[in-house]
Amino acid sequence: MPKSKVNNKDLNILTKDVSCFFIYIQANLVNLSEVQIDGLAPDAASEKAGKKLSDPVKWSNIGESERVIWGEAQGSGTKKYKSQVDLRNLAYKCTCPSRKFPCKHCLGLLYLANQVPQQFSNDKEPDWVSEWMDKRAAKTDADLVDEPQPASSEDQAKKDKAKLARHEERMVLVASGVNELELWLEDLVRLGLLNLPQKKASEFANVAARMIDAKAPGLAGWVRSLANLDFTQKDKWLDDALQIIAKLNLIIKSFHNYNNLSEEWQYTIRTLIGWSQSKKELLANPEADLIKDQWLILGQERDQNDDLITERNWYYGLKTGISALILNFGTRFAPLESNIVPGVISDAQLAFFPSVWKQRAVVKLSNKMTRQLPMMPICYPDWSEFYTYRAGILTVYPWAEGIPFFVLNLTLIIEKDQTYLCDKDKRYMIVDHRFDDESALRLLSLSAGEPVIMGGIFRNEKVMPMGIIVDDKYLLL
Amino acid sequence: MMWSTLRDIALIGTAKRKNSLKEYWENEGDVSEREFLDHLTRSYFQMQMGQSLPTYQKDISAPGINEEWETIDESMEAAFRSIQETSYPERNDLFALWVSALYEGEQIAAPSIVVDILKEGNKRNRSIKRKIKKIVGQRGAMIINISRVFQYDENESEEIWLEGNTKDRREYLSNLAKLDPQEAVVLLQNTWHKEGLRDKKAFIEILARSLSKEYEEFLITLYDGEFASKPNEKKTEKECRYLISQMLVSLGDNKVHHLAKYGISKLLSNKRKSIIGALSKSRFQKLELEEESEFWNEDALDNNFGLKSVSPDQSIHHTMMHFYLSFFIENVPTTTWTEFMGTTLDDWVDYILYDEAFVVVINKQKQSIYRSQIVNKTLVHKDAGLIQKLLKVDKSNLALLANLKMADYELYVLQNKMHRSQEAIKHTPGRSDLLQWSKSFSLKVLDAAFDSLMNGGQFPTRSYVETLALHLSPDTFQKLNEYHHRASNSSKFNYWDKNLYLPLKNSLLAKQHIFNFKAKHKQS
Repeated sequence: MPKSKVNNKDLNILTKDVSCFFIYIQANLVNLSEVQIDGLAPDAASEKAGKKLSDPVKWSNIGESERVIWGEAQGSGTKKYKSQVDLRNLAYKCTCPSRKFPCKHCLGLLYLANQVPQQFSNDKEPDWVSEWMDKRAAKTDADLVDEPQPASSEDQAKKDKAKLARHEERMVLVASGVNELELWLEDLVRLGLLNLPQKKASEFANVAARMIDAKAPGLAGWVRSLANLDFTQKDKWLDDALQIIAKLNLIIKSFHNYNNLSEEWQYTIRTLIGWSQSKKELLANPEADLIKDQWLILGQERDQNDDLITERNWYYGLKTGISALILNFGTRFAPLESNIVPGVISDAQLAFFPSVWKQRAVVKLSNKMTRQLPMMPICYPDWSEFYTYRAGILTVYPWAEGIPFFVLNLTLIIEKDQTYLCDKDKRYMIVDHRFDDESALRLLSLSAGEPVIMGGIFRNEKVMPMGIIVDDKYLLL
Repeated sequence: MMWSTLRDIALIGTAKRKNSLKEYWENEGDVSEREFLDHLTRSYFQMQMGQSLPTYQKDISAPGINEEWETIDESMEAAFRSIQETSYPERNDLFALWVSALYEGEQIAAPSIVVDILKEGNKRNRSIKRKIKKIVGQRGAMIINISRVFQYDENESEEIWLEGNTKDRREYLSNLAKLDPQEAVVLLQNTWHKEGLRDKKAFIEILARSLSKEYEEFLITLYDGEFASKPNEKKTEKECRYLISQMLVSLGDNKVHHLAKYGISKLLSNKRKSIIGALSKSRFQKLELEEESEFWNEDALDNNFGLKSVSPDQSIHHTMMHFYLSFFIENVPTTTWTEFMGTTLDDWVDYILYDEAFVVVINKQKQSIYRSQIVNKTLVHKDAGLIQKLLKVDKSNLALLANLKMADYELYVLQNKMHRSQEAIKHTPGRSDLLQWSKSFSLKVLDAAFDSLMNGGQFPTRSYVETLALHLSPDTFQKLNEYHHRASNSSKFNYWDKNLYLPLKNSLLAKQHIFNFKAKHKQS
């Protein structure tokens, strides 16, 4: 079954049906498996503590309405903690002092609802629950329908002028940074990359810092990735370095040509250079590209770089075959608010950030979650078909990385130093080293070495398996 | 320009590869780094677009799974998940119980838990691993073959015995002796002639630890043949004769046992030498430790029982006769003694422990010289009467309880109102076989545990909780939950929940599933 190719123009013609925002589909009580609730825990300790709280004895006044579950948990003090979980948009609130999110009480409530749903017979929301939920609903409605307060034309003109001035100022700074980076790249190739492994980390850090000063953090990231190459891998580091240099050079060339590009392309180049994308602005933008679908949450990855935790959630539209990346960030002081459950199917509407290749999105509205696949995802018959699709994306957006896929008949091959995924024609892709041995063995146990329908991410010439489909169920690996 | 050439120039640097560049470049003049970078970029993306995928050369066809055994149902999967929630060391026992149940029921694990089972069993002993290999089926076998982490590649049983190292062979024999003593003897007989003397002694020691009537014939052969007394025998041979004699005397009704009885009859105070004569006497006959005789002398006892391989304890054995007698007190069954001496068990124990002839004074304290022999006796014979008698004279020695049969243990504990004693509970018998207490006994112990914590302020030790987790009848699960609800308003709730309720809940749940499965399997 070949994948239907949805190009970026298709995204624009998809309906933006505002009326559907108000139609809430009734959610069943916590349609999540225990493993999926495990995935919501911010750390192992919270998961363990949450499980310990999945005991009816530890709760009072528990209940469930069509939109929320709630309960009061006995803490160490005399006052009980009031915990509640919004089931539609997976949001949590608890009166406990924990800074973890969700806290062990909200997790405990979810585990409890999963294990003994019959205990949640009370469907009358107490005031403290309906108050929170009504507030949330009002906020969501306002986000969805309220036009921004119109400013007076004079104010607006002032704002636009100031914005333009800031933009032009930044463009000047970025241009100087781009020129400097161009010179640095020329120096690199003149002297040869042979010296790259011997270069001091401070040299890369200095160049990256100058890019930050030039308000081009995206370029700084590319420079840092050159410093972070694995130079112990003979030959491979050179290919990786050339790949980075080629992509970086293309950004530089594109920036030089900035004024001749379309608005969409200009936005894309700005994003690559490091202009931030505002989630709030996107949600408020009535012109944003919205796609409603049954989104399978293909998988979730978390990286920690210094104090910044980045959570990548890969979405796959079952009806449209469109994929999306939803990013969440957390720091030591602002913990990651994890409300995305990998492996479930979310009936949701996503808003996509403008780009020539739309990938990054935010959840505009989510209605309900299910575990059963309502339909099969659109799958590629083999790797060659996927490669053709990928080539199509590269013609639109040459920097494309992280392309989700579903491919039929993939066989896992584990060899001493490498793991592969072979298609029916024995064409293979190398599996990302981050796919750990245990996950590979689990996959082998589930598949018994037989070909399976697998979903995952293609990135840096490698694939990261995320799950397989067995009997209409998507099983996370 | 070929990508490989561009790659080479980029590596060495355009400054040193000007000639190569000119050779390939269309421009006449010098090529700038700027142009080189653009060319490199174009080539890179062209290469990306036209890339073809490599083909895997080896066979990728799946072996095909065709299991003979049925796959477990959800309840046994739930049991495994509960076991994973328990703590060590009871987790080891429960996992072994779960594995054995599946193995005996000829069931294989669901694919979703195969890796977890292999992880759980990776550090276990060979006998469990052998069962795990069967219950993980062909999927598990595939994983074991591929994984560098899982160590399940032990040889098959026969290979271990024939080719394994000393440790593995001893472990193998020890497990087999517990499960099938007759098979253990056959195994030993098959290779006995090839074994070294030290190994032979080790194997005999293993048999002694799981004494069985099945060994008798084999032991008699060894006693009469290889380990019969002979001139210039080695010390180890003598030690083997001692071990074999101990077992044969304990087993009863064989020539060595009769020989021991003959020796005892020589010590009876009425000097009746015939066994029939001794048996006919109903009145209590004390032992008279006479001077050395034809039977009671060092050489004869060494020839018959290998006694020279052990030494007397000078501090407690007044004479050599006291020392010789210790062998007989320990190994001759209690019933033989009481019949011979025309007395009751109580009187016999009192006599052996407290008679002036068998007491020494050490540090101004009177001590029985045969106390350890009497205690050791309980290990082999598990004589409830003897153990209860010993407990009467030494209440502190609760370890003796572990040598009782389960029914006797429960009776004794309840009669003596010891079910509230954590120490008495910890010394429950049947740990290795995970014997379960009866429901009525379990309920009493559970009630005592709850009440002691909530009302008596007696906090449970970890080993006590472990014992409860392993031996409480799974039928007490409901009662446990009732206590849990009762505890919810107590200030000790958190302690109860963490230290008693959760460990017991998980183990009871697991056992409930396992025993139900076993019962179902037995019926079918």
